[in-house]
Amino acid sequence: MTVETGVECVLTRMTQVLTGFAQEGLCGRCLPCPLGVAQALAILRRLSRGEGVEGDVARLSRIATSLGEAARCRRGKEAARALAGSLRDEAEYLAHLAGRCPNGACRDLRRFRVVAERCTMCGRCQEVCPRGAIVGDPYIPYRGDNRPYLILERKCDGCGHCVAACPVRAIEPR
Amino acid sequence: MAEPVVLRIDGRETAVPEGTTILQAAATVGIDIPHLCYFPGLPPTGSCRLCLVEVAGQQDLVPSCTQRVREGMEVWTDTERIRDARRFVLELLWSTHSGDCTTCEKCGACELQRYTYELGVAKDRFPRHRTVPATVDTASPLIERDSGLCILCGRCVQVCHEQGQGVLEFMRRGMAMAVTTALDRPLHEVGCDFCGSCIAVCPVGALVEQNRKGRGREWEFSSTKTTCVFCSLNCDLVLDTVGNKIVRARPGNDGYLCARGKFGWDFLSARDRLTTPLIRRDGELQEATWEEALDQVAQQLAALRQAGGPAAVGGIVGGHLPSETQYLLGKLFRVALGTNNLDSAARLAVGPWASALVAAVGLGALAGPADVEAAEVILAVGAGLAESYPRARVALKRARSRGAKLVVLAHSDEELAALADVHLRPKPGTETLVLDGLIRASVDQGLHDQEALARCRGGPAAVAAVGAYRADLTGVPREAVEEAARLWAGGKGAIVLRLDGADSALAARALALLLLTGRTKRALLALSPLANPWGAVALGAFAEFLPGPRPIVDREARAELARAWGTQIPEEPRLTGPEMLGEGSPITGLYVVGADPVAWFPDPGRVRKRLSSLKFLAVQDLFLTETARLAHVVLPLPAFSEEEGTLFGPGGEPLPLNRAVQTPIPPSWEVVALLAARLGCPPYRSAGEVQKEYRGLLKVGEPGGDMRFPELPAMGEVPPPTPLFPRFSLPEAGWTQRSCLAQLAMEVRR
Repeated sequence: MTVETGVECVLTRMTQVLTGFAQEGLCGRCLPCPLGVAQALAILRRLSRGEGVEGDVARLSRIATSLGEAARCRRGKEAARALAGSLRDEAEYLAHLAGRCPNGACRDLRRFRVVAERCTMCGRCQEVCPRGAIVGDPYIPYRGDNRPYLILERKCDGCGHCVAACPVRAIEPR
Repeated sequence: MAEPVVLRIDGRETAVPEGTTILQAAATVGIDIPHLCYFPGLPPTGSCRLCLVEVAGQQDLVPSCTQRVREGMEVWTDTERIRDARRFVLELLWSTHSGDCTTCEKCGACELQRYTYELGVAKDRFPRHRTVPATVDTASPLIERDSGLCILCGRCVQVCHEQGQGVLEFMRRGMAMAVTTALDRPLHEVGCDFCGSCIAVCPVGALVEQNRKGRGREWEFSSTKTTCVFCSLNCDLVLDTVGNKIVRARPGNDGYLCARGKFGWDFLSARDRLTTPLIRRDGELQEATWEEALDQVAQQLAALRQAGGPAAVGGIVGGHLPSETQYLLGKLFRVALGTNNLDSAARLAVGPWASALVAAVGLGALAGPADVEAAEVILAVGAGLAESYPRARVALKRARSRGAKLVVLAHSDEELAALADVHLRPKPGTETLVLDGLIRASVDQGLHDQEALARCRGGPAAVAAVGAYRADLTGVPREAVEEAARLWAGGKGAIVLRLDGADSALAARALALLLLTGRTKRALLALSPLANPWGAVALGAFAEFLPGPRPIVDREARAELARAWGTQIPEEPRLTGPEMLGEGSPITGLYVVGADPVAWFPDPGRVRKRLSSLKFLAVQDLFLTETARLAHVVLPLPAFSEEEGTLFGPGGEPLPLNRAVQTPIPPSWEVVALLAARLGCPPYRSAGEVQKEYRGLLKVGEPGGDMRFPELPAMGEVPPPTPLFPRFSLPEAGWTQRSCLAQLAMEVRR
């Protein structure tokens, strides 16, 4: 399970818009919407998992321009316009294609780090981490051999539990 | 009619009637706009977005299949912008299409394939992605449905509702939408009647006939236009063959075939078909040449005629054979053998009232399905009419959607009842009384055409003798009958009457209703399980009719035919089929063509005994039937796919039967002609020559008969029950699961 970290990126926003359209407004009375939106969602899902393939961004812009031309009604044309607008952040899409989510919103692409300056060494992040990806010792007064908290990138899967648990917002995307 | 609308399409000017769509207008100047969801004859939906065009002054692309033309419109159908939008749709379709054209039956005839090629579409632009997994319905016996190939055009859904059983439907919404049946069940479980209309309109290979799979590519097919012979409605039929084998049957211009016509051709290539003549030698049927067999038939018939006089020989001919064969047989028996002992097996289907029809209005009163579709008020009589004669149901449905009024008289039949304005639902066997009630109500309320009735011989008297309506016997309220009479009074009317199961009393009343309202031209669609019953009546294959049809008892008619044929026409003997096979008939030699009296006539045991006692029996049929096993000479009969000639259509128009499959068996007219030549008649060179001869003798177009009003004998206090399921129905058609089961139940009870 993923914990909502309150962070968004263009992909999550676009996925939300299109999922909402698919669930609420998409009638299926003409072919471009159901087929085009299904394709767009599939591509967005791929990108957000870091599984994007060469040409995915070009495919999205193909859908954005042509869905507007071919769709029968306003709803389809609006969905296309939204997609086209989102594609203006092309750099972010390309980053996803390269396997990074700059905002740290896509679970499969985000990794977290502990900001040592803010960390109070309370140890709650370590307690909630389901994968045991956080190492470090809690602060005990008058002892100097405790290790600072560190998130192991190899073990972290970006679930975000630690972010939610941190009382001082000391964990952020790296 | 309004002024034609002038518009320019791709720079070419065209004038079309108001209300035309751009797509249709483009066709008039030879521009074929790509389309997948539109199909001529079905209402356009504008869903595939392939027919998008640019219209000057409009920012958006518009679908040309739904957009109607406007004066001065300027349309472009093939700009790069349009081509790109079209490619986009096709690219998306390919992302869901599990298309492997190398194994698809539709390859070469597929519209998706065609446009992909024409527009140069990148098939793999979008990787394969399906929201709903593809399923293949191979459980249905006749139709295979592969949703992986479906492109959601919706043609099948529309056509299934227009002329099928309405079992295909768009299910779910949006991205999960799919064309399927209720609960995704196989077709045979949801009430499909397998007319195959969906296959005919499917642009891709999502719907195909099970029995054509792997039998050849569509570009190898050679097509033969012919006519379906599975009932008297004679639908247009196209047979596709590969290497002299039928691989597919499909509807012609009419656009409809029922399951019988669409799928009922496998028996044509059955291994036990007769292919060579057989002659009985030493008690065994042994193969022989055509020469030997025909010689023997001619010699034996001539010898028996010599020995026993004209009454000693006779013939029985099937009601599904081409008109040419019926005519030549009639001529053969009357001219070469001097007897009228030739009867049609169609007697069992139309015999009881053919005479009344001919005497009252003539065959000009017969109507085709197209006439019914054009009628304004229709009276449909007969239970199970819709399921036994699907083409008639389609005609009623089409008429209904045009706004025609429909009165249904049937003791059951939920399907037609749903279409009917008035459904008269009498107790079984009292249909005749309800028709009496209709006649009574029409006359009492002055709804009939008084002049037309006065013109009929015996009309006013017969009508006056019809008693008061007996709602207590029929169970149909008087008000409903009066309402039906009011509907029946107005406009261009037609009766659709199921003949199998209708007795002569019922038929006489149907005729009376036509005469009462002056509807004597193309107003009666008579349904019979035989292909050519009216050809038998019109061309003299009935004992009591000479070609025309002219009653044989009419001295003038006999003289007329005698002049045409150059010989004397005897009035006697004229034995009907049952009489010929009855006890103590003078028949010693019999020639049976395309009929199986042992299986079809009442009392098989007696018929078999009588046939065994004949001195000579020649049988011509497709298979070694019960009757053929008793024969001295057996001749093979060509199937309808191997025939030449015409059928006398339901409305009297000649409908072609053409040879789709080449076979050494000569067409049936030729066999009769060869026999006739051996008996001293002049030879014929082609079916066309025969046709030309009998055309001159037909009187169908003339005002019918002598307008003799049919007799309407009063029914008794308790009417004799009309048998629901006639004990001896003919095996070719008219069989439904329900009637088979009922028949079986009756057998068991006995």
